[in-house]
Amino acid sequence: MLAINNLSTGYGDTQVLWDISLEINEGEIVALIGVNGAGKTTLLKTLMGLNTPWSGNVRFRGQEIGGKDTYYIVKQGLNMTPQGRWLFAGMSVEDNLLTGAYLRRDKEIKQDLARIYGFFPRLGERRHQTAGTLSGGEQQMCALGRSLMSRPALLLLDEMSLGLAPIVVDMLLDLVSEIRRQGTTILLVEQDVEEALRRADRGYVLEGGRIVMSGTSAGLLSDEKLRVAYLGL
Amino acid sequence: MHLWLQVLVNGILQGGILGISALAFSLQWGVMNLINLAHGSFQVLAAYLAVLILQHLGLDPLLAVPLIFLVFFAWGYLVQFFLINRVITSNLFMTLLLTFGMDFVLANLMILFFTADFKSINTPYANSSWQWFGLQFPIVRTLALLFLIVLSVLLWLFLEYSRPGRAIRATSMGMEPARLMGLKIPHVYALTFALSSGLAAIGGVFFGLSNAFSPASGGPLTVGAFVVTILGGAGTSWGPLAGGLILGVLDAVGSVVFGPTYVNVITFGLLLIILVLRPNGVLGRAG
Ligand SMILES: Nc1ncnc2c1ncn2[C@@H]1O[C@H](COP(=O)(O)OP(=O)(O)OP(=O)(O)O)[C@@H](O)[C@H]1O
Ligand SMILES: [Mg+2]
Repeated sequence: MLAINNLSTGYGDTQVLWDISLEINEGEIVALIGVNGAGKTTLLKTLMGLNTPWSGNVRFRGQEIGGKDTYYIVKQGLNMTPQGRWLFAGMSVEDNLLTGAYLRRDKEIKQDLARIYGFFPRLGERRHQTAGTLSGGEQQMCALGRSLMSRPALLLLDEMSLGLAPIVVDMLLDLVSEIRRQGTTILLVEQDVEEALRRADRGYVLEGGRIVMSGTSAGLLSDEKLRVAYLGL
Repeated sequence: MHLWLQVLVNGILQGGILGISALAFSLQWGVMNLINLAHGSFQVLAAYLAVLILQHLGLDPLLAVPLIFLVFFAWGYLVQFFLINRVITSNLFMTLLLTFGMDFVLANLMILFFTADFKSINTPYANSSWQWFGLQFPIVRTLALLFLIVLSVLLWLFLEYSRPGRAIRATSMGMEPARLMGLKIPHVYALTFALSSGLAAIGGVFFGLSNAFSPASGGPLTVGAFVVTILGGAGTSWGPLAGGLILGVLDAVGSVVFGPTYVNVITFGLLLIILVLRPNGVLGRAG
């Protein structure tokens, strides 16, 4: 579904990603693991066209999307729930969700709103409240809901659980599995390596801007080096 | 007592023209962080367009308002898309420089085509007033205030409930998040400037109907819109109404206290005070 080939990029003169190659198949949950500053967010932003690749290519469902406009990429069915959420703080919850569906012209937007409120009843109760006044967990739900409103085929989730209570994190991660069951492929970036790999089918490890390891979740979880470096075992 | 009531009425009605003008200025500022120094010249140009339409088509300026709105809407879209968008994401100084240049070019083109002489639009109602409770309500200014109220409501409805309105609001709250939603920012910006140019033009028509104007009238109009926007807050639908009424009344009182030749003294005085009190706040995004 997504095939990244020898992708390199950075900011200004500073290179951040080196020769990234990564593949995601339809229906998978793939985890992307790496310490702070490894380049996970940079990779996701580059996939979304918010950062320009220096070299390499990105194919999504057979179409080259590397270096294309974000508009075009979103239209192809790719979406991201960004790290830090990026909500429109002064807009209501519902307007945030509707903005997520901006490129859609079909008649089922109302239905999808109801679907999101079904996932997150608290958002439904607060639908007319300004997004900036929500709690951290609710904001993350809103951000995730907003991405889902675009009906993405592939959803990139960047550190959803950052700073949230464990119970909320559990709920969000359970939902990720449910979303996948309903037909959305997932690239999952998480701080909690064990949690991420437990939900994912496969994983990639990013270190200093390079992919240094990849494999099935079970394989990675039992890898000695990974356990020492990321699980502290 | 009666004199002061009339002064109050004059001020409130003057708030209409000021407010429509600020509706445009504040939208540009609030959404794009753009301080459009050519704003006043756009308005004067609209007044000249009203003159031309009256002369050549025989269409009354007030009836020509929809046409003038559309012309400026289209023109505004092109100006933003092809000109201002090129510098809008660089620093504020560049956009100031560009709009200052646009103002300069527009003012001089108007001198070329219309001479530097003062003009006024001659309509049967231009100098007439309605009389209510023994007070004078100049027709044009009264209509301007009504227009301001209606336009504020329409703008609010548009921004709050329409799809493009939501896009404009989202973009004003964060450019990168808006891009992530699949919005084409250059088009959102162009739409914003188109809309505000249309609004500015409506204000310009009312200004032309109630004042003699020349190509040099743009400067004070820009300053007025600037002050009203700061008083009312940038990027809000009701700020221009509030700010317009405040400045209108202050101006009216000022022109009685200091004499009618100093009609702009309050406006410029406020500008100076604002610049001294919050020089940083002025050049950042307000509210
Ligand atoms: N906008 C930017 N301009 C310049 N450098 C940046 C920018 N964003 C990130 N970087 C740098 O790029 C490198 C990778 O950052 P990135 O945010 O992609 O890492 P990350 O793996 O997402 O980290 P985290 O776990 O903290 O989110 C870091 O060294 C960071 O300082
Ligand atoms: Mg990150």
